[in-house]
Amino acid sequence: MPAVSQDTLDEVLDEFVQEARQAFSNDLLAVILFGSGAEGRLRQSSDVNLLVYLDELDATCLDAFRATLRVCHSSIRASVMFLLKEELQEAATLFAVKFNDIKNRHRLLCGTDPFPTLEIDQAALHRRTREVLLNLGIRLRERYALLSLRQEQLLPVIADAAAPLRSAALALLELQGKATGLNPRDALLQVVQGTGREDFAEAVQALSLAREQQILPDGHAGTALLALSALAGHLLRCLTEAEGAL
Amino acid sequence: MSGEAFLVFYFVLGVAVYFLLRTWIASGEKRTVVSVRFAEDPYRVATLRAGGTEAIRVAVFSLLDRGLLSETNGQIQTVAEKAEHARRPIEQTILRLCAKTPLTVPGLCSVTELQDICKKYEAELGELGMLNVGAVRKRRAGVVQPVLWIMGLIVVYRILYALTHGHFNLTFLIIEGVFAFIWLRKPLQERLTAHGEAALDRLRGMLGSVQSRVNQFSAGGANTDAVLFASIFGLELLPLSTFDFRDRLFPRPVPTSSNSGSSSSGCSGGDSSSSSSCSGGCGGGCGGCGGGGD
Repeated sequence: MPAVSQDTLDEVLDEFVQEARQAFSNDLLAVILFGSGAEGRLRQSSDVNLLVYLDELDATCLDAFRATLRVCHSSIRASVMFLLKEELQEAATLFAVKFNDIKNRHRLLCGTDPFPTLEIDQAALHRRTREVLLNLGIRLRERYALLSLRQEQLLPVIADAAAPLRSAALALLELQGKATGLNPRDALLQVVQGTGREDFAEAVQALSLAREQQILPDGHAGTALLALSALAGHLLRCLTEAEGAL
Repeated sequence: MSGEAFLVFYFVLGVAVYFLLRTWIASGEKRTVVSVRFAEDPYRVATLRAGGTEAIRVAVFSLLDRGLLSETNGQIQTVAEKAEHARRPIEQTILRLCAKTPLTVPGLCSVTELQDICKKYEAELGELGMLNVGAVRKRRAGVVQPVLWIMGLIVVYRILYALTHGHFNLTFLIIEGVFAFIWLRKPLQERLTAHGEAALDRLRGMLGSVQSRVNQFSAGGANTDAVLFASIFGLELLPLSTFDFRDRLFPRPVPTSSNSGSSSSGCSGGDSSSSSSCSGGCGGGCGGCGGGGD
């Protein structure tokens, strides 16, 4: 269930852009909506992710923009990244997974889109994806050990696992040349279908329920958590194999 | 025309005139609503919703939430070492007033200096065309008053006509005339203009999602969720589990014979120019959200 209607989102974003133009004037290069908001798939727990892309930045501009930011944070849960032009390539290398996701899922609200020409270093993307997957697999095991008797506390843990798993699945399919037109959610479904494993399919279903409806199937949260940890390991192996095959 | 036919005719005429009046008022008052910029000042929003006194109450809440005021048994006092942190005049004035001796919220609301600040908010809203004051009120009166005269004269003419023709059963006609007068006079008494109503509706829509997070509010004023929620939907709807001072400082209005059933009851919900005193009734001003319903 979306927390913010599309009409309200569009109205607030229009005003956000106007205020950004006023506050940053010529230094504003672009305002970009990314993530689920860019796909029109906002859920109750979703933040509206925005990138304010700037040539230069000084404190007075940020001061002028503060009140707008606070109102937008309250009204649509706007989460804003202020990124300078000179930082973009470096950020795309160091946070390759995130910027690959932004490159794939974004909507330009104003200015000139920097992403079509942005090169995501594939080696960096795969290395970072492997790091994220390994970290996720380890962390989910620890969460299982600590929380598996308290089902209600597993919900946010499972919901939070969605983004890294989906991004990793997309990165894997891209590497295999099978990702044409897929969004990260569908990419994960496709990867899981390919494995033929029922526990992975059930875990991904639990993941979608946790993320989109804030509920978990009774008594299966712990199992789902472990299955997601195993899925992270599976994706990691697949990525390594796919890279090795190149 | 028979008496019954006239009653029907007058009813239809009254309804038609009312809708024409509404259309005319809306066409003259509606402007582009810029809600994000407007919501940047939650006290301005509170003033729009429920009058100047509500701005004081919301400011007190905000300062308490940020820890710049402390509360003991319904009295508030400035936390000395943080008194410089406030930025807006209304906040600075409250902190200064509460610095020496603890005050109650109604006590604060009656301080002339704070009322003057509230009047500035009201004047600003008037200039923005959101309150039915000054030129807007004059414009409305310029049309509504002649309409009232015409509708009244029609009734008077009909009464005289009936009397001269030996008909003395005029009760329904008089009742209908009085109702028409009260109904058609409403545009003169409304606090908000069509633009003000539209702005408030837009703000409620824009911040509607905050309602779904109301139980996740955390004290401390790290974000504007709670204060914006309070300014738009009313302090009475804040979660008591997080803001335990809510009922001590901002009690829900107790329905009385004069305000029961009214959702806009409270000292700050009426005429914006008459918000000088809120003693005993300062818990009102719920502005149509949560008041009178429980």
